[in-house]
Amino acid sequence: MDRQEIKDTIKKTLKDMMNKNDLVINDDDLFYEDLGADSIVIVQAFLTCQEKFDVLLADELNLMEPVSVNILTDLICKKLEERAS
Amino acid sequence: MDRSYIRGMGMYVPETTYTSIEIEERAGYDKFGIKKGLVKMLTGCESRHYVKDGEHSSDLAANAGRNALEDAGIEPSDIDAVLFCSITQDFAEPATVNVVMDKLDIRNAYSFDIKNACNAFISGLDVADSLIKSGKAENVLVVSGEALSRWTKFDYDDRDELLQRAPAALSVGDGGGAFVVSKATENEEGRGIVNSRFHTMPEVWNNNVIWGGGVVYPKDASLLYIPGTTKALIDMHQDVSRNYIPPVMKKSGWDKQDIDCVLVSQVAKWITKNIRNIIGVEKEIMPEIVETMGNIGAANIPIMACEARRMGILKERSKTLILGGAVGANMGVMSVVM
Repeated sequence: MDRQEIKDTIKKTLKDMMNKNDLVINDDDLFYEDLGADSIVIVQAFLTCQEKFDVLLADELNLMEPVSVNILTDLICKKLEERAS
Repeated sequence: MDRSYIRGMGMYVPETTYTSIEIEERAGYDKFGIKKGLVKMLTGCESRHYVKDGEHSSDLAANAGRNALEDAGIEPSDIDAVLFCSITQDFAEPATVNVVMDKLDIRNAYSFDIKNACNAFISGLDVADSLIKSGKAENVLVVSGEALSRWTKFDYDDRDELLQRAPAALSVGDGGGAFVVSKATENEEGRGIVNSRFHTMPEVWNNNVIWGGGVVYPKDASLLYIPGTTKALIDMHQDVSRNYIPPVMKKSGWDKQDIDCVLVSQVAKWITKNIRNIIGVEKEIMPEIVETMGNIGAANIPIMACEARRMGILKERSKTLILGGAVGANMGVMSVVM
């Protein structure tokens, strides 16, 4: 799986859910603290990625911990590697 | 001074179950183009039990109470106080405990309802402990029956409300749980409620309010539903762990390695995980029911205790921490040797 594809999926989901197509999202921006995404937007980003990349993210969601595009991408890549091994 | 201990416990859940996907469809996720799976992703709830038509809070409580009496090995006539502790109730007046007692054939007991949102059951345990310590009762039935599906909104006409608030509200389930709390004798040496700490933060009462059912909106039944949880309550719930567990453990003379079981109200799996990390205990001693039963309000604690016993986590003389955060907002922690 291409890491950039995962990042693009996350960014597109955030923009769609927040109704902000022109939002600039840097890879290290924190969803809640920097982008102003609420908990439901974050949950939807996890849900979209879980379905698209076919990895279980439900047990990894923790709304008290900061999450960025890079952090979520790392998590998905780790899950994909676990599945492949 | 007399001491109290948990003599018996019982639970009951209705037969019918619904998956979160089914509940999301019923609430209109498809109609509003919302991706299904949010409830499970946010809370961890996969399925929950719902009452059938004609099945009420008092039925759930009575069935659980009957099982607790049998577990305790005592008759209805041995009970001298009954406390019905739930969010939901059969009606505004009289207290639902009267109906529960009638169904259980308990005829010679002092009784009343205790309202304290999700912490009603823990408050009931505290009151039962006080009744026994003061010599006013010897066997108290503390019972909860939550028919929360009756106060669940499914006819959403606002996409934002459905999206923002419903995922937490749709995770609730129905069920009943009960403890028999009795006066300890020398045979129960070392067992019982050891310590507790309760605190209310009234300044945040305006979170997750069920607006209907009171005199503020006396005629508007459409307001009688659980709106969903808020970040203020989630933060408060975790503050329970940080600020209230250490003093209760210290006064109980317990270290974290002494704890055999932790029972915490069931809002979401990630909240339970955070609390577990704050306390510093292993996952194996902290049972969860949110995945298969959802959030059952005040009945969470007794149902989880029964499940913990069934799984072999909770045994006689297990050192157990019971904790919860509730709308109001209030928090409670209790240490119990079961």
